Order: sequence, then C-alpha cells, then structure tokens
Amino acid sequence: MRKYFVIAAGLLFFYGLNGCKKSEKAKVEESTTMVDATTAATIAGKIKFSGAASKAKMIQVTSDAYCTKQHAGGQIASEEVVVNSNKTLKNVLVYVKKGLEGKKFATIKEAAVINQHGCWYEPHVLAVMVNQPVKILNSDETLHNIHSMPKVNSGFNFAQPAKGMETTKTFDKEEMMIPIKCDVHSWMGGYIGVLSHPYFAVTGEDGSFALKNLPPGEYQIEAWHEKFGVQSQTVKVAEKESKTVEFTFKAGAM
Amino acid sequence: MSRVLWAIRRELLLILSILILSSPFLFADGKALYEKKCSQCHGIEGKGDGFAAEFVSPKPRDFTLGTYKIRTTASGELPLDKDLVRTISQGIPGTSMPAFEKALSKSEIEEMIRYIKSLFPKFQEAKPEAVKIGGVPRRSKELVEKGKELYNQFRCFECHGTAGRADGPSAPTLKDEKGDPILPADFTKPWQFRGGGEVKDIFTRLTTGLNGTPMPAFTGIFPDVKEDERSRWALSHYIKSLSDGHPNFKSVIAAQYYAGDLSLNSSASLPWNDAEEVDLPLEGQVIQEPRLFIPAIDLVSVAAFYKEQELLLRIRWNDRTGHAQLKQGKDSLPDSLSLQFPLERTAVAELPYFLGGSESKPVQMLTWSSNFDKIDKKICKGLNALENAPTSAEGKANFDQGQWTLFLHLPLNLKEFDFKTGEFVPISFSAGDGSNGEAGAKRSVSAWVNLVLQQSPSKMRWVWPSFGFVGALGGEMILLSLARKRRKQ
Repeated sequence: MRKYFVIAAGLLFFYGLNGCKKSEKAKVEESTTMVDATTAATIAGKIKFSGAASKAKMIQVTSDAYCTKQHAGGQIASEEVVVNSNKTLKNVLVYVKKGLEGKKFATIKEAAVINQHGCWYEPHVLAVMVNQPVKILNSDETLHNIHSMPKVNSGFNFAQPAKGMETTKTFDKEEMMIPIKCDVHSWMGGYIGVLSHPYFAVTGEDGSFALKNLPPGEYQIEAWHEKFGVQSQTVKVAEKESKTVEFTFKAGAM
Repeated sequence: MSRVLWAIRRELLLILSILILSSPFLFADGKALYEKKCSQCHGIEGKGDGFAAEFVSPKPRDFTLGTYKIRTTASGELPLDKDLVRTISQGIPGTSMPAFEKALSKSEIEEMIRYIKSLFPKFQEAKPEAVKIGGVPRRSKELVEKGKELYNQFRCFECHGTAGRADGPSAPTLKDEKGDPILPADFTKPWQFRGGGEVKDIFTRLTTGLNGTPMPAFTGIFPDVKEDERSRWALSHYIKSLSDGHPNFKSVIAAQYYAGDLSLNSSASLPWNDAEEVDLPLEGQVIQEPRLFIPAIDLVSVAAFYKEQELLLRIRWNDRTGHAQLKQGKDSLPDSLSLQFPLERTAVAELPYFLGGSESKPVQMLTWSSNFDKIDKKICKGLNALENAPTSAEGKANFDQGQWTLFLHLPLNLKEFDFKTGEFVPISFSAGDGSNGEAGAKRSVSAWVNLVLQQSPSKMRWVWPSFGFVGALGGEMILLSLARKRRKQ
C-alpha cells in the first residue's frame, strides 16, 4: 500500500517540478530584445495615390442634434479614403509583417488615445502594441458607445454618456485590424491594429511613414488601407542604413 | 491486502476503458440532440442559417461567432454555462427561441451546451467570471425619479426613445454583429425583454451589455463603484416603471358609462385613467397570402367609454416608424388599424372566421388609415371578398413619441351598431405598419375578444349603505346613552 503512495507522490512531484521548470522557461523567453541604437536602421517612405482623387464622401449627420451642430451644414467628410494635397494617402498603417520572429519588445507604456470628438474618432486608424494602454476619451456632450469587434481579442462595448469620461483598455493579442464603431452614431467607425512590436506607423497629412530603430535585417513591410487592401514589399537594411520605400495605391482598386 | 488492491485496480481499469471507449458516443449525444432540436433555426453547422432562419426576427444565434446576448459576465466575455442553461431552459422572450425546460432533461441540456461550446474554440481557454450583482433595492418614488433623470443624462433615448417606445433617433440605423438591422428594446413591454423583465434582469443587462448588439454596458460611468451601481438600480427601477399596470391581457373590453361629452373633439380630455385599458396581443397573419412573418405591431391597448347612444373607443399601439408615415403623407404605404364585428350577432359560441369572416358568417370591418381622414367600412366574406359599405363611424388619430392613439366614435342608436348594455359583442383587431410593407391581408391580427357596455352603476348604490351606516350609528348611540343613564341611576 505504502509503495503506491510513494509512487503517486513521486509522480506528483515530477509533474509539479516540470510545471515549475516550464514557467521559469517562459520567464526567460519574456525578456525583451534590446536593439543596439548604434547599428539600428530605418525604413521610411510615402504612400502614394495614383489616379483621379474623387472628393471625400460627405456624411449627413441627422440623428443627434449635438453632433449636427459640431459640423458646418451638419456634414462630416468621410475618412474612408483621404487623398492628401501631395497625392499621398492618409490613414494607411505601415508595419513590419515578417522579419522580427522570435524577438520580444518591451510594451509601450505610454497610452495611445482615441478621442471621440465632434461625433468622430480621432484618429480614424490607430495602431498599438499588445498590452499597450488605449485611452478612450469622450470630448462630446452626448452619449457614445465604444464597440470593438475583434476576432482574436475579447471584445467590449461600453457607454460613455458624459463629456470628459475616459476609459483605458488593452488588447492582449496581436490582431489586424479590429473594427470599432459607435452604434448611437452609425457614421462613427475606425480601426485598431494590435502588434507585438513597436515597428508601425499610420500615415497622416503628408502620407509619410518612418519605422526607426530597426535591428538590421530583412523585413516584409506591409501597408494596410481600409478600402484598398494590403500591399507588401521585402526590404533589407544593413547596419545604420536608411532605406526609402514607396507604396502606390490606385483609384478603382476598391 | 494486495489482493483487494488488485481488485480495485482491475475495476478502475474496467471503468476507465468503458469511459474511453464510449466517449465518442457521449459527445455524439450533444451533437445528435443539437441536430434534432436546434439545427432547424441555428443551422447544421451552427451558423444561424437553418431553413427557418429567414422567417424569424431576431435572427438565430450564430454559434461560430461566440457572441451571446444574455450573460452574467462582463461586456465582450463569453457566457457561463449557467447562462446558457438559463437561455435553453427558459427560452428568450420576444423571440422565436422556445423554452426547452420540459422537452429536455437537465443532462441533455448540459450535453447540448457542451456541443454548442465546441463550435467556438475560444470557450476552451476562456474563464469568464460572473459580474457582481447585489440585492435588489426596494423601489421608491425617489429611486424612480432618479432613474428618470439618469435616463435622460445617459441619453438612453437616443435608441430607446423619450417615452421608452424604441423609437429613438438612432433606432433605425442599428445593426447587429452580422450587419442585420436590430431593434432596441421597447421599455413599455418588459415581458419581451430578452433576458427577462424583472428589475434584477434589467440591472444585469445594464451591467453586462448585450454582446453582438449595439447595447453597451453602462458601467464605470461614476468613479465611485457604489454610486455607479446605485445609478444602474435607479435606471432599472425607472425602466420597469414604464410598464406599470401592463400587460393587462384580458378577453373582455369593458366600456365604462360616461355621461359627459363623448364626441371626437373632446376625446383626448376624457378621464381615461378611470377606464380599464386592456392589452391584446397581435400576431402576424400567416394563413393566407400575402403573409406576414415578422410583424411590426404586436400589441393594441383598448379602452372604451359609452353612454346611451354613443361608444368611444381609444385604441393605442406602439409603432417605431409612425412619424415616417406622417412625414411622407399620402405617397407612402399608410399605417392602418382595423376592427371587426360579426355582421349578424347570434350566440357567442358561433364566431365568424377570425380572418374577415366567411360566406356564411360575414363580418363588418372598420378601418382607419394614416392617409385617409374617414373611416372605411367593408362587409367581408373572407379577406378576399370585400364589399364597400357606408358607415356612421368616425375616427381621429394622432402620433406621439412612438405611439398611435386612435379615437373611434360609433353611434349606437343605428342598426349598424345595435349593441345593448350587458351584451357581449365579439370584436377583434388588426394592424398594419406601412413602413414594414404591411398592407391588405399582410398585417398582424388579434383573436376574437368581447366588448361589453357595462351597466351604468345605480346612483342609489351609495344611498342605501349610507342610510344603513347612519342608522346603525344612531342606534348604538341611543343604546349607549340608555346604558349610561341606567348606571347613573
């Protein structure tokens, strides 16, 4: 009888030990990759747009008097396709898709902000790191519900009925892209990209992007646009090298 | 000793091998049950695309998406098994989801849940936790008032409407997770609330939100957790109070005697609070073409006053889109309401066919339409055999905050409406929502109920008891004074 107890205890001990070992291993893996600033490279460039740029779609805001008042004529220009004056494209997320496998990067502690302002999301496209805080602000004197619709992460849908309210959320898994919407104001929509590394940028008014402090190596760079889809290029950067990359999205590719 | 151990070991091995060998059958059980009981609506693969799906609204759940409305877990989380047990056992009010409590055993429901969860792999790793829900605070006037204040402050009206009738400005644009239109809850009908209509249920939905729908969680609005919770209790009590006194499902509409002016002009100012308002459920007409599977109007509420030669009916029903008919006027499909009486009234037991009567038992049908100021009358021998007829009935309707109110005036001295006091007059209702493409036979209908002109209560009913009371009091006083006198002597 005692023999069995000994065996059982031994087995338990063995499994327990194994479990401990595993978690120790995990800890080691979690330690982050340090990028040597003296050898780091940069990939930068522009997102060009070719073809006739049609005027931005105008959204007529009617259901909420507060929102209507915030915009001339109660109209907001859609941000689905924004062609800048220098023929570049706004709201394109450029990021490293491949080439960083096996590396871990420290989470950005600084919160990214989504501001609900004038019944509109600012910014329209946001990218964050896994577990980076995302501060969601309501700057409007009306009710917004912020409704995320992820496939990988857990979703949320909560109300912010007052001006000045802020809530901080995080996403614990990599995911491209998570649509967000406000159901109260059906025209309010945006996207959040969640990445496991800090090498991403969203184009602004000049359509440019820069991925700095990259370890030298070969990377697949992807550019994502909500209407025009994705494009990718493979770029190799040596130590301290700065490379320029251009992507061109065409009208009619919608 | 060791022999006993060996025996135990052998038994254990035997049980284990039986379990292992039979496990495919154990799992298959849930699947087979699912295919038999659920797949008609939810589809063979659980994608919410069964053959019955097109006839129901809201649409059946797509189990492969993992979004569940009725939970006790935080917004965005998966449900607890307990939540799924509740939904399957009790069904979902106001939808096509029936209660399986009586049709399936407890273990069958558990098997089914195991299978449903296997359709969404995230269930395996997820560890959802129940949100904390304390005891329900007692309703008070202050709490309801506070709730009303918060209703406006939180802008619940954006979707649910100022009076809670689901006609808010954002209501027509709402979409579910699949992009299908979805309706906000009508707060005046808590018996249709998906997760139950009790104050605690309402509080739970405010705390968890309804995943896959536009309804968010109203948590974290006040930094103080206690205050945050109190705000949701107040709101829950207020929402519940919007249906006070309803539903009043009855099969008799009792018209009260009222001696004053019963004309249409003064109809709105009558003491309607004294009249009993009866709620009558309506269902889509699905018997003859064109059929209506997803009706927009599911309830009419009727109250009535009468005097010697007049009957005034007040018929109210919620319509999320009535304002559209007002705006578009005569060009759009109108909203309409009909009521029918048997043409010949014989014994109560012999009712005409409920859809417009028949050749042998015709009905007279009175119809009000939002694009026509007169009441239209037809003699019907079935819904396809309508014949115009003159009528002395008059109607007047107005639309306010998601509700139509129709006043219908019937002169009682004519042969057309020869209703006698105390007599049971069969009556039934049907409604059409133009915005929902409802017209003609494509409308929602009620069953036959009865209209009764209640005996006007005799004015002497106060006199005799009063006499009795005064007499008894006087008698006692005399006895008392006699007794006192005797004691003095």
